[in-house]
Amino acid sequence: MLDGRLRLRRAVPVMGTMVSFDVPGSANGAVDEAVRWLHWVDRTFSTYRPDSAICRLDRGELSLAECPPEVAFVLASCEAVAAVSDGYFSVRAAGVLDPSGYVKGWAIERAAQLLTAAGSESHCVNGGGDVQCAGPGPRSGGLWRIGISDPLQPGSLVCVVSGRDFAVATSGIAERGAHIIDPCTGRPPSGLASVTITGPSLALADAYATAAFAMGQPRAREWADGLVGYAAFGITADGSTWRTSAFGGT
Amino acid sequence: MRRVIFAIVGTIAGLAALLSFKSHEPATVAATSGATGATGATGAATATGKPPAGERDIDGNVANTVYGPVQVQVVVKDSKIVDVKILEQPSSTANDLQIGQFAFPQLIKETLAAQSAHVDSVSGATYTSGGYVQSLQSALDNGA
Repeated sequence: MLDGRLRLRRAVPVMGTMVSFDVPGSANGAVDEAVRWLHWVDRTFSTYRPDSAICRLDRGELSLAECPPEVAFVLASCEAVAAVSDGYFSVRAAGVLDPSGYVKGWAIERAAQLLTAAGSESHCVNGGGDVQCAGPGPRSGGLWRIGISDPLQPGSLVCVVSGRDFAVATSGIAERGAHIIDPCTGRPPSGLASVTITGPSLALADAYATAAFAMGQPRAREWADGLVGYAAFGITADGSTWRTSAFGGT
Repeated sequence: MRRVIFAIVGTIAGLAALLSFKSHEPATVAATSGATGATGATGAATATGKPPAGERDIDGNVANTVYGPVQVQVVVKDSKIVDVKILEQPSSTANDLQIGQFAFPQLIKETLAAQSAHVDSVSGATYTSGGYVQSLQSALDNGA
């Protein structure tokens, strides 16, 4: 089924980052459709495009009903995550309407679903460090191996998450600096260098990682321990690590 | 138009407020009996078809947009929201991953020299398209 000789890898600049497709054994056509979807998401949800639906909605030029239905869906989902995270996940953390903390993971997850719908049984989509993999991995044993970046030592990994059909999202200080704001204080959170969430859905993993990072230490760990269906791995500013009990491994 | 947003937000915020009162039956939201098809595929542990004791699914009100209805379902355990599902969204694939059947990936701590770690992909804080150039992911995409 999986032909080891075929392995499509493609990186596409979209949504302000790079989205990497890894499709063992297939199918450029399906990837093209997924790329079109990601560009549509960018046009619709980008806070950097004044003509995006999200910006026009925020300025009052569009009603929610006039926006594509995905906007209502995303905002409703964001509110739900805000409720689950005691408000640490917020679409208005920085004042303006900005659902990016949910949108990216959601868009990548659905891109992976589009590949599945097009017949791909195995693939991995990585949107700027947030990963959704489906089916068996291309290695022996049929597992995907996703490395977790070391936020304190760029270019190195701290551990590997291995399995099939799972999502991994990481929020942290690396690369973009302190871009997540604690909505309660208006300042970057402290104590955590990065937090990784794994579970079935990248949309929720991404939003949960954003919320957990905004909480900082030690609250992030306590909160993540109560998540159902999702596990967390944290790296503190001093380099020590923790994981929630749901995480199996060695 | 803000009223429309607040209507949705209000529905969910109201839902959350109601949920904080244990054993209070929310009047403004429907219990899930009508949505059996979707319910079977949702919830933290509903793979067997019935939520465990102390856990229940609550459907949010349907928000009608010109494109079709949008509806969110919330899974509640011990008066706390533990999961959120999308029951209905226009023109989309069903988001029906079953957490009850989800097998957690293994977390492996090993001696990791990055280049010899044999990984397929890398998760980390979001990089810009500029930062990507120096990233390990970039090397992987190039077939490293």
